Amino acid sequence: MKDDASVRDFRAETRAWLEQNCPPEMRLPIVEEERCWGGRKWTFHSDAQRLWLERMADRGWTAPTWPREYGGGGLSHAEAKILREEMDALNCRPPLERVSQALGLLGPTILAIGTDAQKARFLPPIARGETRWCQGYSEPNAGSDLASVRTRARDEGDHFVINGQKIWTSHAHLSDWMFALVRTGPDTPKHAGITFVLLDMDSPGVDVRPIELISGKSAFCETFLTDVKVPKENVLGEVNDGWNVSKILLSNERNSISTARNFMAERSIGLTALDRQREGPGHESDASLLDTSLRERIAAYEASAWAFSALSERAGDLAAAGESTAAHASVLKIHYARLNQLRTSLMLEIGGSDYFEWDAPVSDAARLWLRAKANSIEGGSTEIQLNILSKRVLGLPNL
Amino acid sequence: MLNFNDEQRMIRDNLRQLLTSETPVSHLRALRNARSSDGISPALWKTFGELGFAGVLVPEEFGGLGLSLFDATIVAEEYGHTLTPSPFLSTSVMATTALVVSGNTHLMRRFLPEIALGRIVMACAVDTGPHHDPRMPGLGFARSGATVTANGTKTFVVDGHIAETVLVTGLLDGEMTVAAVARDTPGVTVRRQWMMDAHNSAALKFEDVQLNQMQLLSDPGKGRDILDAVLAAGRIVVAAELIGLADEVLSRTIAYLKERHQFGRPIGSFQALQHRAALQFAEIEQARAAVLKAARAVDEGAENAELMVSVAKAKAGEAALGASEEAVQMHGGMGITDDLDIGLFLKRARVADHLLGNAHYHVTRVAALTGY
Ligand SMILES: Cc1cc2nc3c(=O)[nH]c(=O)nc-3n(C[C@H](O)[C@H](O)[C@H](O)COP(=O)(O)OP(=O)(O)OC[C@H]3O[C@@H](n4cnc5c(N)ncnc54)[C@H](O)[C@@H]3O)c2cc1C
Repeated sequence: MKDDASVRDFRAETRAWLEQNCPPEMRLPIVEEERCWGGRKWTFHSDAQRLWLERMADRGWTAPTWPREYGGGGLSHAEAKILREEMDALNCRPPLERVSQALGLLGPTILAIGTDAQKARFLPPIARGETRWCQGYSEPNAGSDLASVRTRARDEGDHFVINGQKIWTSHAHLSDWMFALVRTGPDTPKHAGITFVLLDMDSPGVDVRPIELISGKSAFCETFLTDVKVPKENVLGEVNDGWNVSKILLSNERNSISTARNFMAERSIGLTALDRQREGPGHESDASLLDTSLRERIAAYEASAWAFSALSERAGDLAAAGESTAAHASVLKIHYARLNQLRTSLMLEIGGSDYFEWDAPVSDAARLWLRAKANSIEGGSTEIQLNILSKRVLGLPNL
Repeated sequence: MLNFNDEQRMIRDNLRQLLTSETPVSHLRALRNARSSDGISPALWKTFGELGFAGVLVPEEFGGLGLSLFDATIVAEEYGHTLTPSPFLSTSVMATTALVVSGNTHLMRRFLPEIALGRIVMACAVDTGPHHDPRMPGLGFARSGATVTANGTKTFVVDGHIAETVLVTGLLDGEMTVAAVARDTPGVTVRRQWMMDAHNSAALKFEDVQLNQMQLLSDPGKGRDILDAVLAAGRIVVAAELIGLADEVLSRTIAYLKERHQFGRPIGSFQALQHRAALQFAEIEQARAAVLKAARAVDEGAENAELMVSVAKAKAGEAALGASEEAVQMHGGMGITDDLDIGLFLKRARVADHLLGNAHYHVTRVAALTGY
């Protein structure tokens, strides 16, 4: 973008404000455990983290493009882009995870189709990091085939009574609220009988059990729902129209999974590999990687990662100009999964056995590599994204 | 912004109309079959001049449109769709950039207005061996008094056989230097190279070619900046052509997947083929974004512009080769016949990937520019 005068002013003001208000600790490279997710159960890792969130939330810059009345910053797409660029340039950590279920997925969906009352009630606490949300879509028998959800919602006049089981509910045990797909029309065709509800996790009848993953973490849960009451004002969109609501949300999800990550704002892993080579005796002043195969594979990954950041920038520009297509969310999701898997695998190769220790490792590379395996499954698997592109974008016929 | 505005969309639509009616792929085939001595359509080049496309990068004071590299990619992407051999790369992009960056007003006045009108073809002679290596020009300039003598060889010079004047890189006192040499100067021999893709190339030999000082674009010293700018612009524009090519060959493949039936159903209903086609689409979209980003980065003089140029050229080369190789496979036996145009896309993809550095060259350059 060519900086004209007003853009230049905004950039300069933004930079000055960030320099003054972002605590130095919040400008160090982020470690996984210190990402800020917020919510009532959240404990801040430091005063700096709390202060940084408060200051950014006061300006609405945790949700830069949301309207000010709902806790956002009221910025245009171009301004939000500048804010992001300046935060990257100063290494400012996101004060609140942009990819979270609340900020990345539900918030934009409520903004798009929620009632005024729902916007006023749910959005400001999300922007301030006061409520954390989880996503109750998947069930044991409804994964890729999400429209076959069976969790039943019985109509009781002014409220629904919900019974069923959700699975893979990320961070359900740390969340305050859940948005869920439930079946309200058991006798209608499967896409037509689904409703999108907002459910308070403190309601009686909600039981959450964490599941351990290959990475050793328990980031997601089984969620059992027994006679859980949900008032009707907590239906987002129309009753029995939840499938369409979920589609809006899923495209936000794919966009936010992929655009939240700018690989190239992170340090080049080629430079990390060179650092490690230089630790060897006699290699202190090496100017390049001696393992030319590794060098080329890292560079091929980094070339793709640069191209990916251009792609997510372009997707944002197209969306802001109203030219967005269903294609971009899927294209981003496919590339993101592959790149993150490649990156974490190369990191393990760079580290060698030093990085394989499970207890007290010198790096979290092994766990990140294992975690990245989920990137091509969560949020609709890579195969499902390819199905979407084949059918909806390329127009290829059904079998 | 990495999307097109209304004006840019209009340029694109007009060009698409012009090229699909004047030089569809059958035009390249006809030039090839006739072993055309020009290897281009002179009429189209004239039209490019009349409509302003030839002068996209020529500053307004010299009669051009004075637009950006970002705008130039729109033109290249369109002729990538039709595989149109055009002097746009050699003349409107590479030679124009060399002249403008040199700041040599004498040569700019002489050539730029002619370029903008589509009245002249120029070429840039960079490589000397079969692999792109611009720092080793394979040509030396020796100065004695006011005369400069050139000796050396060049290869893979796009449009070298029809260029009125060739901009030649060489070393003068060990420094990169660029000289403007008329093709008919005594001592210059030109051999037309018939390439696999039926696009235009020539091998040039320089034996005791006598030049005068005025033919040097700049003082020694500055030659490297000129060369870097020419390469950046050229690589981006070739990359944009590759995106157009990839886009076209993929849509032809999709059409075939819908139309060809086996086992009583369209082959495009088989998921094995659907996913491979969808992956090509995803690769092309990513490469396209990289090309647009690189063009913007060069236009704005961004710090990582050189790096983005290599990213763009590498990704575009991979995407175009990938899409055309998959196109051949998905067309089955038909894909191997010369009757079908698919082979022409594959051939052009391979040659254009190689031109100004292939994907391997540019990936390695990403490592070098990043510092490992
Ligand atoms: C880390 C992580 C976090 C998650 N968080 C949440 C969450 O917070 N909330 C939530 O609701 N869900 C969550 N999920 C669940 C996720 O959405 C599902 O795992 C996903 O949709 C796949 O469903 P499944 O696991 O049942 O696999 P299945 O649908 O059983 O798929 C198994 C394999 O079959 C392939 N497959 C299935 N159908 C097709 C087809 N038509 N064509 C080709 N291949 C096909 C799949 O690609 C996959 O490779 C999370 C998952 C992970 C890994």
